[in-house]
Amino acid sequence: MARKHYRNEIEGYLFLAPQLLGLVLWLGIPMLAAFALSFTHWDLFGRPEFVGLRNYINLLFHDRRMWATLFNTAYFTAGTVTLGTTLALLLAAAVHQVSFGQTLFKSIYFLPVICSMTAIAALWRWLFSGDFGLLNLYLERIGISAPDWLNDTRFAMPAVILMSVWKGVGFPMIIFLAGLHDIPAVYYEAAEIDGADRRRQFLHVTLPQLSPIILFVVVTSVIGCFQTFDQIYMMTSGGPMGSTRTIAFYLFENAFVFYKFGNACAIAYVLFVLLGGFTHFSIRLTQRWVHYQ
Amino acid sequence: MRRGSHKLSRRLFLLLLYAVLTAGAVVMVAPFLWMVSTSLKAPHETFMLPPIWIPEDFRFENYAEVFDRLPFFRFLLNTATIAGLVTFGVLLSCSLTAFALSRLRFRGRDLVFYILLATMIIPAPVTLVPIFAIMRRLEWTNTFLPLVVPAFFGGAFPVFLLRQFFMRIPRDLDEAAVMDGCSAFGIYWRVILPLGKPALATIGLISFMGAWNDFFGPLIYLYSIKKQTLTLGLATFQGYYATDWHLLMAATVIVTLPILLAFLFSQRFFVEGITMTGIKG
Repeated sequence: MARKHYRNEIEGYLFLAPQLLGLVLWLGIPMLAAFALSFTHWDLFGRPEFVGLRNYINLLFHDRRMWATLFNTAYFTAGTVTLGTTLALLLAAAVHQVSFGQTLFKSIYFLPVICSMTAIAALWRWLFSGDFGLLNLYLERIGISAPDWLNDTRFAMPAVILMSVWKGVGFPMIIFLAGLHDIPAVYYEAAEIDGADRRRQFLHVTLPQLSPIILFVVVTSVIGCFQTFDQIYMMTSGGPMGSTRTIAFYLFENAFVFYKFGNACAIAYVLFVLLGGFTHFSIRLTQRWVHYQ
Repeated sequence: MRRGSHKLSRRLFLLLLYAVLTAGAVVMVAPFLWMVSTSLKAPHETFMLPPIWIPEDFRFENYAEVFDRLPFFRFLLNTATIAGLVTFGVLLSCSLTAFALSRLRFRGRDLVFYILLATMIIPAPVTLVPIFAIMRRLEWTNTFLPLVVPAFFGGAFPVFLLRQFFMRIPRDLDEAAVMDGCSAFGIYWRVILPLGKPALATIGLISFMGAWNDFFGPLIYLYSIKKQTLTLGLATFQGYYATDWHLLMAATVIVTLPILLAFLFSQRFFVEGITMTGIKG
C-alpha cells in the first residue's frame, strides 16, 4: 500500500517555469540593471556613462527638488493615510452598528474605489476648479472664501489629499468591517457589565481588537501613497511651483521628460531604501505594540 | 426607568449614525451626479451661478462630439483586449505556480515560495527603467505586448492568495485522481482548477480591474492615438480640451461607465473578493 507521492523535481519545476522565468526576466535582471544604471548618466539612446556616486550625491546634497519631492511625498502620505484610515475606521464602526441599509452604504462608499484614478482625478479637477468648481460654489454660499485649490501652492496638496481620501476610503472601510465582524460579542458584553460606555468600548475593545488590521491597512497604504502618480499627473503635473511633485512623479519626469535614466534609477533606489526601511520598522513595531488575540 | 432611557439613547444614537452615514453617502455620490450633469450641459451652463444640477435640455450631442474628437470606442476595445489578455495570463501562470507550491512535493519548493513572498516588498518603480529599455530593445513599444506579456510570468500576490486557497482543498482528492491514473497536470486541470474557481474568480476580477484602470503602463508604452486605452485617452483628451468641462465630463463618464456597470452587476462578489485579499495576514 505504498502511497504515491509526487517527489518529482522536474515536474515541480516545469509547473514553476513561467514564474521562475518571470522572477529572473522582470525582476532579478531589471533590479540589478537598475542598480548598475543608478551609477551612470544615460539618455536611453547612447551608451551609459559611468559616473560613480554622482547621481546619489547630487540627489541628496545638491538637488533642492529632490528634498522638496521627499517632503511632498511625506506630506501626501501622512495626510492621506491619517485622514483615510481614521475616516474608514469611523465609517466602518458606524456601518457595523446599523442593520438596515448596510449593504447599500457599503456599496456607495466603495463606488470610487473601483473607478480608475485617472477618471476620478479628471472629475475632481473640475470640482476643485477655482471659479466654477462645485466645491467653491457651495463654500462661498456658506460664506467661506475658498482658494483656487489646484493653482495655489498652499492648497494644491491638501486638494490632492482630499480627493485621494474620497477615492480610497471605501477600501479600508470594507476591510475594517470584516475585522469588526470577527470581534466576539462577549467582549462587548463584558465591557458593558463593567459599565463602559460606547466611547470606552470603542477605545478599549474595538481598537485593540482591530489593531493588527489597522496596522496592515496603514502599512499597505503608506507603501501605496509613496508611489502615487496618476492623480498628480492628471490634476497638477506636480505644480504649482512643484508643490505637489511626489517622488514617483519626479522619477517619471527624470526618465521620460528629462531623459536622465541613470538619475531615475537612483531615485528608484532611494524610494526602495525608504520603503524597505519603513517595512522593516513596521514589522518590528508589530511585534511590540500590536495586540493579537 | 433606567432601561427606558437606555433604549431612548440607543435610538438617538442610531438616528445620529444614520444621519452621519447618509451625509457621507451624499458626499460620495454627489461628484458622480455632478459629472453626469455637467456632461449633459450646454457650454455656458457649466459657468452659471447658482450651480444647475439639472440642465435645461439634455445635450447628448456632447457624447457624440467626444467620440468625434477622439476614438473612444477604439480605446474601449483596446482596454478590453489588454485587460482580457492580462487576466488570462495571470490566471494561467499564477495557478500553475500556486498548484506546484501547494500540491506537489519537491526540493526547493518552500525556498521558491519565500523568495516570491520577499519580492512583494520591491516597489514597481525600481525595475521601471530597465524593463522599459528591454521593451524598447524588443521594439515592443507602441504595442500591447509590454502591458500583456509580463502577466504570463506569474506574480507574487495572486500566487500567494491562490496557494492559500488550494491548500484548503482536501488532499484525498489528489490521491483518488492518481488512482484513476491522473498525472500531476491532470490533477491541476481536473481537480484543482474546478475546485479553485472562487479564488480564481477573485484573482481574475482584481487583475482585470487593475489592467482596466492602469494608467502608468499605457502612458509610457502607447503613444499613437489608435493604440491608447481609456485612461490614457482621457488624459490625452484633457490635454487638448482642458477647460471644455462639458466635453471633458462626457469623456469621463464614458471612461467610468463600463466599470460602474460591471460593479452594479457583481457588487457582492466585488466586495467579498476585496475583503478576502485585504485580510491576507
